[in-house]
Amino acid sequence: MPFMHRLNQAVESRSYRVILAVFGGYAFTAGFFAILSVALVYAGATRVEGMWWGVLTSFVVYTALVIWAAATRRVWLTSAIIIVGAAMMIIASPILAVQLELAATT
Amino acid sequence: MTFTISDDFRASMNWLHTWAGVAVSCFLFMVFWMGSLAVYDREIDQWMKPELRVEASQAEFSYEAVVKDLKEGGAANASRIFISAPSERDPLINAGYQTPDGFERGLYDPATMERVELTESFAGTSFFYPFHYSLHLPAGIGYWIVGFSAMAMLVLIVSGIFIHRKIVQDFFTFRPKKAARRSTLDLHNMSSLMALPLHILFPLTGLMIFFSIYLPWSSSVVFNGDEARKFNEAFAIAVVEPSGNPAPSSLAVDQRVGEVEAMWAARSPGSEPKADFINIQLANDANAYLTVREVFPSRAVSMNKNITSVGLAEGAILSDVGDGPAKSSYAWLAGAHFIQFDSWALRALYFAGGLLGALMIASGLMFWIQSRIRKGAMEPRSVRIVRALSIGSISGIILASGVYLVANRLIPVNSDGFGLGRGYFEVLFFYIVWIGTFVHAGLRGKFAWREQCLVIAPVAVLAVTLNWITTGDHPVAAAAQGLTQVWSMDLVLLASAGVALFAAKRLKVPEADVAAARKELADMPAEAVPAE
Repeated sequence: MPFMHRLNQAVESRSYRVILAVFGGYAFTAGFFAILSVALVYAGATRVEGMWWGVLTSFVVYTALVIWAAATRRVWLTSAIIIVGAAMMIIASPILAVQLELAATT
Repeated sequence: MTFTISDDFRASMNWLHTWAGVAVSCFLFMVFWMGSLAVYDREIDQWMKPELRVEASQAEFSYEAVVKDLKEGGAANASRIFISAPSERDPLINAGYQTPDGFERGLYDPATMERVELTESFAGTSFFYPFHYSLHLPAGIGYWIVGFSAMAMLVLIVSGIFIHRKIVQDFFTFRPKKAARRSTLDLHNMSSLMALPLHILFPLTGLMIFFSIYLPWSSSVVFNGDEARKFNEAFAIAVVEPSGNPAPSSLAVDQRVGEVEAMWAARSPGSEPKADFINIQLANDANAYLTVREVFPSRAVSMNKNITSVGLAEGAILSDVGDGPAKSSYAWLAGAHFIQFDSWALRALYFAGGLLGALMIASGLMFWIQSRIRKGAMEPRSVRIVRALSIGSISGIILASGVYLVANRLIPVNSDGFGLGRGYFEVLFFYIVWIGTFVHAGLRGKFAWREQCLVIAPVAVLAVTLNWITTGDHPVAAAAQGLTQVWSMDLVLLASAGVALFAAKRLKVPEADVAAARKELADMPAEAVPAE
């Protein structure tokens, strides 16, 4: 299949790794921050503490993701983990935050 | 279990290090240069605004007296009044109040409560310091460029560490007599490793300080996307409705501040917390309240660790920032970036660390350039572009900063800068010279390094001379008056002149290369030769 072949070539290129690292890495980091802060509030922390834990960890996570995207031998797998992981965390965290608010008011 | 780094992995790190480095190094140098200057922003202010060359007052400071004076002045109907206490590095009171069309801010002499008028200049605290995180670009573009560069720097540090096979050996290796390319790389390795903890601390904590800009969505998710609520909860900002009844004739400000300080002291035994900033809101209402902060403790690193809002009438605590583990860690890390605490030795260490970072970035760029030049071959266009941008960003910004100081001393105090305003007129000199250095670098290629260094030296000496002529405070006179800040800055300027001359000597292009460059020019097709 020429399409799959060309797609594979594109994914194996260095430009793709740069895009995955910068944008995929950012999306994953943003999702990680959000889900971590919400999860900590579920575990009993205050909202502000949840937010500060996110601040403390996010930029380290982002750095690690960039290094991983540059070095990985299995680009497809790394891409899947970063992109699917980012999407799941970004969708789940605001929903969980609303649940938290509802639980507090009832 | 042994952990070995495969050649494959090292090759990918090498590639990452090279290209991330080329992409952001020009911006990173600007940030490190301006950040290093910002370590001494208050001292630069004293040099550029001679009215600030006063002794710090030893008298007991009373917020209430300042509030009373402001209310007798223009603040009679102001609903908001804020006051920063004087300190060793900020000898004047910084106070302001709300007016119908904004804020009226000013500096007051603590001894007389007279307002002090200063030379109009952005100087260290409003030009160099904001430059290092905003680049003074419109619409917040600068913050994102600086943030991207800081993230890239973290990646550069990690990849740089992985590249090295012999990290300890490299630390002790410097071969200045070897070929230029080899000694440039030695210099890069040495400056990186010497201040490695600081090279990690600066970009990491800088990113954390602006978390709300870089991760706006993530940081408000837990507050259901409510930005105002995020800031109110994170910084103990109380929200109080006015009662409609007038406030009592005198506000017990000092009593409330004392109570809050006692509460802070009880919370962390052994410390002596001291409020250095207060903000009074609803000042003319019976519900008047006060936010008290210890922004920069003098004997601790953590910044904004203590923030409490209290009602002025009864002293009830309205909100308090608390001391959870993550909050306390953040307060420490942010304070470690701002370094306002009372330690001259640590400030000097940060200044040296910042300059080592600048040296690391500059030598990295030079190594990239030197690696792509082959003797006798035409220089590729990429090399010429990167070199011109590097020269303008490195020696160019240093020269422009020097010219900014010279302009500050040359422009008369009461000048309005031909309608621009005196402060902006100074800044105009900075940008004209800075743009000029890029043009010069584009035209002169590899010779521009040395030529710009040769100009930096006399500019630095001129700045010292002009300070002498316009204020009379030459280094000896300043030392006699106890103006440590002024004579230290003069000596640093003179030392920079020496360093610039030394760099010019080392950057001299060998005669053989000059001949090769002439030949290259002669061999070029006629239409490619620039007209002289």
